[in-house]
Amino acid sequence: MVPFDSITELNFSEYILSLFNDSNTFSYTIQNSTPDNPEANASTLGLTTTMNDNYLATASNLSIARTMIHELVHAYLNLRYSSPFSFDNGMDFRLKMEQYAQDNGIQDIQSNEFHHDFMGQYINAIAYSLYEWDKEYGTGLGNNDDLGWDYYYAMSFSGQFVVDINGNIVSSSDTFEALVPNSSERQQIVNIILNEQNNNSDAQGTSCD
Amino acid sequence: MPFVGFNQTILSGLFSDLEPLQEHYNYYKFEEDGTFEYHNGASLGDNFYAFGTYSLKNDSLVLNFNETIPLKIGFHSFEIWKNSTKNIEINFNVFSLNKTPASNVNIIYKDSSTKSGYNGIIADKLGRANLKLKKENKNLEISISNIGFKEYKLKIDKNYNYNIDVFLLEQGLGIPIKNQIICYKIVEMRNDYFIVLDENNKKIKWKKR
Repeated sequence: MVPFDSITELNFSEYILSLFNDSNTFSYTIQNSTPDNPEANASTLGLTTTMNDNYLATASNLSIARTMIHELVHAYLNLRYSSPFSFDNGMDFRLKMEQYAQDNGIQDIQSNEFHHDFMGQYINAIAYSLYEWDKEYGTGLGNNDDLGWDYYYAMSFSGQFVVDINGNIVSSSDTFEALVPNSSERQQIVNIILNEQNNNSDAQGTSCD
Repeated sequence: MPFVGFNQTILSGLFSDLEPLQEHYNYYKFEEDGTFEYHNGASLGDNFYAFGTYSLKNDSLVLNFNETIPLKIGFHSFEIWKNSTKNIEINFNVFSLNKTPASNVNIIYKDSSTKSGYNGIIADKLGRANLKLKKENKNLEISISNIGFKEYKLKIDKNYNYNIDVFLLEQGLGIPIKNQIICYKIVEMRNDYFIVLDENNKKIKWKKR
C-alpha cells in the first residue's frame, strides 16, 4: 500500500512526460548506446538521455525503470532552470532552485551535486511513479501485485550515494543523510538498489527475457 | 590470478574504485604507451577530467596530469554606444562555442516591477533578442540560459546601448585538472586490480573492468 491519501499528483514521471508531449518547443529523447563513458548507468545532457547498453543488459526491469525516471527528472530540472519563461511563473521555480543551492552551499545549479541533492525532494514522487510502473508493467503484470511501498521508496534513492567496488557507501548526499539518518539503514537501501542494478538472486524486480 | 609484482611498468585498461553502472563514476583509463585519462562524474557528465602520463617505479604509481588541455569556457563580446534617448537598447546574438546559433535562449535580468523580481525574454530560433530598458546610472546583471548549455552571466552599464555576442559552453564537460602530480604508494599490484594508499594513508582498491 502507498502511504498517501491523495497521490494522484505524485505520478511525477507521467507529469513530466505529459509536459514534453504537450510542448511544441521541447522534446525529450531517450536512447541507448555504448557510451564513451562506460561506467555510468545512464547520462542526461539537456533533454537527451542515453542509457548504457551494458546496464540495460545487466539490470532488472525495475532498476531500468527507476533509472529512466531518475534521468527524466534530470531533464526536467535542466529544462526548468534553463527555460523559466517557457512556464507560467517559471521564475518562481528557478528562484527556488537558486535558494536551495544557496542554503546548501552549492555553487553550480547545473551540477551533479545540485541535481542529486535537490532530487531528494522528489523521493516520494519518484517512488510512486516506480510503484505505478511496476504494478502495470513489472511485478504486477497480470496479477496487480507489488513489492511493497518501502521497496519502491528505497529504489528512489539512486544517485544519492557513491559506493565502492565492494558495494559500501563512500559518500552520501546531504538529502540522503537527512531523510535516512541511520547509516546502516542507508546501506540497506543501497543494497536493494545494487541487487536490482546487478539483477542478482536477491533482486525482486522482473528481468528482461 | 598470477602475482605481477612491483616490477610491472605498464598499466592497461580501465580501472575504477567504484561499483560499475551506478549514477556516479570515477576511473582512470591507462594506455600501454604510458598515457592515461581520468574521469569523475555522474548522470550529467564529468565533474572533473584529465589527461596525462603515468609511471610505475618501485612501489609508486606517479600520475602526472600534464596533457590536459585547458577548457575554453563561455564568453561574450560587446559593442557599445551612447545617445541622449531615455531608454537603452541591447541586442543579443547567442551562439554555442562552435558558433552555431542557439535557439530557445532565455535572457533574464532583475526587475523590481515584476512579481518574481525578475524579467526577461526568449530569443528567437537564431539566438537573437532585443531588450529596451530605462536608462539608469547603475549596472545590470544579465543571465543567459539555454537548455544543454552552462548558464552565462554578464554585466552592463545601463547608461549605454549594446550589441552583445554570447558564446555558450555545453553542459556536462566538467572542469579539467592540469599541472598536478599525484604519487600513490602501491600496496598490491595484480593483473585485475591494484591497491594504493591515498594521501590519508587509506587503502584504495582500483579494479580493472
